[in-house]
Amino acid sequence: MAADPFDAALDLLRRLNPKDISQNLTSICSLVPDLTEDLLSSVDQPLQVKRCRVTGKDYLTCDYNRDGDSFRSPWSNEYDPPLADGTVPSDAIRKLEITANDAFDIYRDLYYEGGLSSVYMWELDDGLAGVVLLKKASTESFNGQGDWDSIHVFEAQVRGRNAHYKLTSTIILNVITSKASLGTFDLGGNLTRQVERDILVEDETSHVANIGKMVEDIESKMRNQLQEVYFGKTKDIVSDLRSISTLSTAREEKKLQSEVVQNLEGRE
Amino acid sequence: MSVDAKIKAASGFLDDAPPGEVKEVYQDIKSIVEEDSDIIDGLESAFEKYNLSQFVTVKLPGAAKAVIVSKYNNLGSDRFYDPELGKSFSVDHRSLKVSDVDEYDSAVDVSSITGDVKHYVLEHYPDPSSYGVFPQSSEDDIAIVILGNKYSPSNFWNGRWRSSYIADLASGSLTGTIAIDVHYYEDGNVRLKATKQVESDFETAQTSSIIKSIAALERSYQEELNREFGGLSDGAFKSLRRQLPVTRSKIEWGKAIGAYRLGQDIGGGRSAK
Repeated sequence: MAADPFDAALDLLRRLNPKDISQNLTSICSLVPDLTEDLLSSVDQPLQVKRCRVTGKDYLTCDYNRDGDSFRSPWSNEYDPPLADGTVPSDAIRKLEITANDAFDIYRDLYYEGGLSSVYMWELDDGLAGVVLLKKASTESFNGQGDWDSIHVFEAQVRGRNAHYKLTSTIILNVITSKASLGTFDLGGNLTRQVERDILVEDETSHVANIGKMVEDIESKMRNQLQEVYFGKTKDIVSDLRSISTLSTAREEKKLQSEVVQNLEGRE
Repeated sequence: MSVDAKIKAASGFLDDAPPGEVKEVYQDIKSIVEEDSDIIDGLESAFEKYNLSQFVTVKLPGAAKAVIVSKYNNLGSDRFYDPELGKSFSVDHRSLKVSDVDEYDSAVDVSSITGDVKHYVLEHYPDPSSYGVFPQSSEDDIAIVILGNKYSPSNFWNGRWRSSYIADLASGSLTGTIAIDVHYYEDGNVRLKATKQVESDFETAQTSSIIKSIAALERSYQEELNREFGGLSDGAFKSLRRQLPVTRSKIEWGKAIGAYRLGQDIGGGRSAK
């Protein structure tokens, strides 16, 4: 059963070490150059930081603000390196994009107390779409170093007074420690979740509030899931590989336990 | 791109295959290169490297236990030995088929150490675990290899524990490496890779002290690892994104959102960095 090369490439990237995703993506694209554009638009990679030439403010780059080899700044709407005919949103969408960047800058400050955010938007036939990006690196002198990248891609289809929102959220989280007592400890990867919702649209700016609420909700949920998977599930799997207490003791305890249960049941 | 460069790229994928997923990775590679036989045939040494470094196990005909394949019991080319079974054999690295099984007499008697290791592995590594005790070409050196695999693809996770030690029977020094590889991939892709170089010593007059040293090393490493999960959860993770803003309530979105900024300026409750 020969799978489609594109599907196989996605499957492979879901298996290989997520930390090497950019490098593995480059390798696949060099093996099969035809897949390059499709893979770049379907695979989330860690966000890169660029400085806006006009405003001097940092912004985040991904496939959604890329045109050829240039990236568009959300602060100035200008491409770097400059493009004469770079794709830019319509005036109405750009106005909304500015509002969204302001709102998510506040969101970033309240939840991340640092880091960077960028929002990019573009029009659809029956609505609009966009991406909300957030990035925070933690290099304070606590136990280890952490990197968090959020990528929220949304679509809003306007239907009468409501809009139907589709949100696909990916959070890339990496934590690394290295110290004598532990050796190297490298835990990283990503989780993806999708939600859809119908919400009332009073005017254009309602979109920003609606998407804001959805992003806030899903990030809070995903934060819990990341904590559970990274520091709960992974730890449990390690305990499944090797048992600190001896297995005969564990078996003995289990046997005793079931005897106690049996005795209790026998008494009823 | 040259065929050699393509083989190198594809070999890199095999090298990084998560525990228990090498078949799926191989299948993906074949689909990506559309069965290009020049590339697929060129993966031979990548399979060999993977098997040796990951302590892949094979079954010998009629043997109850699975035998580890590693650099420590490699007789050169594709031949390996296991003193406990008293056999040597050839392995096809791609198919893991065993052939040409022969009798093997170990120059050094390691049966007593093997018994200790076997008992220890049974007590700490749930099935399917494996182990091997292999005399090395340097006569005083004994290699001890331990493998714990747990595959649960229906729950989207797989894991592997590998440890390997060289016990120097003359000096009583014990050096080794413990490596953990965990893959969790339900609606995502999360990987843990943890490694530690360890060293200790044992009483040369008593070979049973070797496994006691190993047990102590592995226990303290695992306890340290468990502390680290807790430490990162409370430290690095918490400092990345708050559960709720300082206001302890969710954001009031809408036109009034600018008030947060205003409040910050007026209230001055939050210090500027």
